[in-house]
Amino acid sequence: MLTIRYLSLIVSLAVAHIAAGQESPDSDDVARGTEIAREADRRASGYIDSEESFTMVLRDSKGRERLRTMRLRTFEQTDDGDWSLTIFDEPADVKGTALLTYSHGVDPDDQWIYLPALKRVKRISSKNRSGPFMGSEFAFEDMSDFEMEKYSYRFLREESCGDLQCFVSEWIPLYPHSGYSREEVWHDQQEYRVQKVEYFDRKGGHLKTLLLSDYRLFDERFWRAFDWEMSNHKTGKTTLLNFNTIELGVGLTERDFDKNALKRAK
Amino acid sequence: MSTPLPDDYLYKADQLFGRLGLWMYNHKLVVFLAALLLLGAGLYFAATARTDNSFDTFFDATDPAYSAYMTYQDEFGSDEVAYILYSVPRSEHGPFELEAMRRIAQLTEALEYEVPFVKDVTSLSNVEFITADEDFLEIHELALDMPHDQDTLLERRGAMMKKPSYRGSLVNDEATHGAIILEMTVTSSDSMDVLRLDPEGGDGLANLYPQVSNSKILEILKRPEYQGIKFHWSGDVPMNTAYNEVIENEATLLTLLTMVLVSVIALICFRLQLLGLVGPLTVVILGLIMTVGFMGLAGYKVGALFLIAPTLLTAIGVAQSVHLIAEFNLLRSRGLDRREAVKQTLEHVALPCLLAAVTTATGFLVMAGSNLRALAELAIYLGAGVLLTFVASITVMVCYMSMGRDWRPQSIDPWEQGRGVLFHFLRRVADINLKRPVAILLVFGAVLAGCFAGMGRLHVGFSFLEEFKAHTQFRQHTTYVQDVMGGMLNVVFIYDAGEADAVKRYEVLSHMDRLQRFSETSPIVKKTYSVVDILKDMNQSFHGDDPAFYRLPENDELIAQYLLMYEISGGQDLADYLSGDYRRSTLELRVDLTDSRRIRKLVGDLEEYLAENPVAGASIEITGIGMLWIKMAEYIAQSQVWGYGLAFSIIAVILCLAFHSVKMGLLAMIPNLFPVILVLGIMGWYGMHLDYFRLLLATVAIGIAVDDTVHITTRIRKEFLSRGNYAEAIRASLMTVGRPLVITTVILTLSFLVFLASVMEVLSSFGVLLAITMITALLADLFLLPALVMVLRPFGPEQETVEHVAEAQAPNFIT
Repeated sequence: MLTIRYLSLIVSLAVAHIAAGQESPDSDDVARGTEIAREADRRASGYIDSEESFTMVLRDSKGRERLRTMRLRTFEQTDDGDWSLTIFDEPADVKGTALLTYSHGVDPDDQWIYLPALKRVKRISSKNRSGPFMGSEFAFEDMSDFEMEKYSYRFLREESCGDLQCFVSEWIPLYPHSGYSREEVWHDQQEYRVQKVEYFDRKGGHLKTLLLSDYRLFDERFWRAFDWEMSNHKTGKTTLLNFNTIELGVGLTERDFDKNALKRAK
Repeated sequence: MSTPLPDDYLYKADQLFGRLGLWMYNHKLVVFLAALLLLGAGLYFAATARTDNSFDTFFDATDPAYSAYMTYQDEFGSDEVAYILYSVPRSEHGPFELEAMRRIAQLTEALEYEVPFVKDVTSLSNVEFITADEDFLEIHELALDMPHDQDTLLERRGAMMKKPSYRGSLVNDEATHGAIILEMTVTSSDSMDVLRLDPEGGDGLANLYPQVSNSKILEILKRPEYQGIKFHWSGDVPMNTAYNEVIENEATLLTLLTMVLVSVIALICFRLQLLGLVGPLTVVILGLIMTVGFMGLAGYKVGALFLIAPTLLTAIGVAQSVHLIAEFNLLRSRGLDRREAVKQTLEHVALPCLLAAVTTATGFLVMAGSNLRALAELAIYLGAGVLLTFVASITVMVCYMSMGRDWRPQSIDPWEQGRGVLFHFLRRVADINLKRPVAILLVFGAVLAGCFAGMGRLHVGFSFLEEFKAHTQFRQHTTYVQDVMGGMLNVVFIYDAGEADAVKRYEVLSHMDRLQRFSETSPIVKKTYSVVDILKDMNQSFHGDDPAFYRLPENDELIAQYLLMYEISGGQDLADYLSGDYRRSTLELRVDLTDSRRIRKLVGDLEEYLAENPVAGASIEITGIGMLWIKMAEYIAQSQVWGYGLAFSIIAVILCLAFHSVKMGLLAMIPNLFPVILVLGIMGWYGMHLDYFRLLLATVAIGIAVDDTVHITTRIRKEFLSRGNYAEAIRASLMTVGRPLVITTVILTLSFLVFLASVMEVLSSFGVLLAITMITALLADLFLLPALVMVLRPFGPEQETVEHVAEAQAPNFIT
């Protein structure tokens, strides 16, 4: 699922070129916020492909849960959005259901779904970005491919985030039909990993908070968070993404992302 | 005239009140300060009383039906909505006119982003709809991909009109009207801190849900960019707003109208005497403030039922004051100084006033055991209000009566001179009673028999829509919306499969499908919703949009995969139908806002169906607003049976004790029962149903009617004990207390007719029926009671002389 890559991009950063101490106190907030985002994007690029398995926990306001176990294969693209293939393993009645996505940045994604009960592949298309992603508290736009031109940026402040020190920036969506008026993003100053994102709805109310933790380093360059927690403050619902395995550079090819791959995926 | 027996406890009570009157006269300042203290305390606590007419105020939190409903809301979210129906006059394609659709898309966005407490807004412009061919399935939202020309939009219309789930909810079958549904994040019964728009903005309606949401909706609809589109709105938000506004506005309006009215009557009756104007008004204001203060102290909500409280308490307060003023004036006109007049006024009428207050309060308080919380609370605060008003009337009236110069007025009262229409009327009444008591009893008996027959036709039922008068905006708009779309009330079936993920099994969902189809055969079910609709839609879409596949897939795996696909594609409605763990699922029926009896019939039929067609692997619970209506009707019926019986019994016991005679106590109940039976009989013959307002008729009527009975029976007993002759006792009593009886009845009747000014139909009809009850109660006290006394002779045999009595002041006009 290429959509995962968006957050991967901004959470897996290498050496900081712009540390807080190097910034001029007089520097423009907009320029500084933009530079932080650009640096995060730069560091996240180049992983080529990945294969991950994770559990999605959908928890309602009463604590009742539904679990989904999935595998995700991602293939990095340079000229366009990434490709991804999601294969569902659990619950048992959806085992083998697979979703192939070609992301196109600001344009609608191309998606194909395979339902094993019908043994048929169907192409699906949706322009809705603000809707929920797989019934979770993540929205499609939270998971879509990151592009610099999708937001305007403004540096807000520096503050501690747990044991770390963070930059806090404001991101304002520039693409149409976003469900947010703005986001506040916390990057740690050391590795430029996203530690937290707060989402504000179109009325300016605090809608959701994303927390990322258990970061692990891959190939001495790419940071990946193994635990993601998105809380919706309006509904009281929470979605957890707990990654079991993450592998980068596993040698996937385009053939692993064509329509026939949907049927082969088990 | 002579005084009663000195060892009689009623006599002792009279003496006690006389001594209290003297003490109060001698300590005017203390009494005045006490009244001020009561006023201050009342104002302080009154400020904490909160307006709320949501279902929360009608049901106790532990009520099983309400608890089930709250659990449903908790699990599936608030079911409160605002529903906006629109049409585009003078356009060829109605809501599918391209320009109109663009404006509706803009409006939908404005509503979603600007209206407070909105969770989601759905209209034709943003509803997801799926189109499919053999290999391609597309999820559309018009707003995201607005057609550039009319023809393309009409093609979309064709596709949308094929979807049963949209028809009757977002567009009518003729495609002449579209709808916008605003789902809210909160319910009117949520705690106050959740309902405030501005957390620091206070608890005025203007800062609270649903007023703030409703106001914003109306403000948006009036914007120039939406001119040319005709809107009608309904749903929970406008309805609760209408209720809250009615309660807030009319509580003040009805109180003021009643006060003005009783002031005018009092001025006329007491010949422009200042005491007659200022005294009752002060009593009423103090009584009302203390009552609302009591509500604030007890944490009771000001709901629709409260609307009857100010007028009732005003009428009762004025009636008590009138008895005190009439007696005081009578004594003063006979030359007593102010001090002695105050003492004897309390001696003569304070006890009957107390008895009247206690019996009236009893009439209300028996309803405190009702399962209907709003009714139980009303019973308590009205009961407390009556007793507090009695305290206010004694306190305030003694203050007023004690003030002023101690001049000795000349008797200029035409009554004292044996003149005036009322004097001659009462003398004629006495003549008829004494000459034809048996004939009177026969007439009343015949009327009673007819009324008993009418009572057998009485039924319990109500409709919130019909509570509003036909001309009110809420009723007009809701009626229009119902006519076009139907179904503003919901009945919900919750399937519980016992374990997570189990409710999506075919055997459970196919049962839901059959129940859904069966329920749609009812004429009052206008629309049904369940996850089955989504699955059928998905199945059809996955089979090239072939209508033959608009059916539930018979395969558990495929059902699960469709649901997953629906979520993957961004579908947002599953949470409305499935619990977070897929253990429970709902089938919602949208039902006409009709009489609760028709809803009871529907639910009865469905329960019968379920009994004959049990579901394997799941249990089913029924809830929803419709079920709460049914519960309310059941509680009303229960309250009617035991409430009336208990009220009559307790009041009868009080009267037996008060009159020192079981026979007299029971006899006095007859003129009290008569007006109640008469009004219930009239309602039965006219096909009027018993709703939660009219349910109060009997207890309110007997509680108030008994006041006059207490006054006249007490007087007849006193007169008989002193004269030893029934005819003389009756004539003397009618010529003394008859006047305040007539005056208080006029005041009460006109006060209750003030309810005609309300926009609530249910309140207006309640007022008219209560007015009829008051007039009937007067007739019963003037004719039926004296006739009964004449025939049954409840105080024993007549005597020539009464040896152990002392002479008292007798009205010199008695002949």
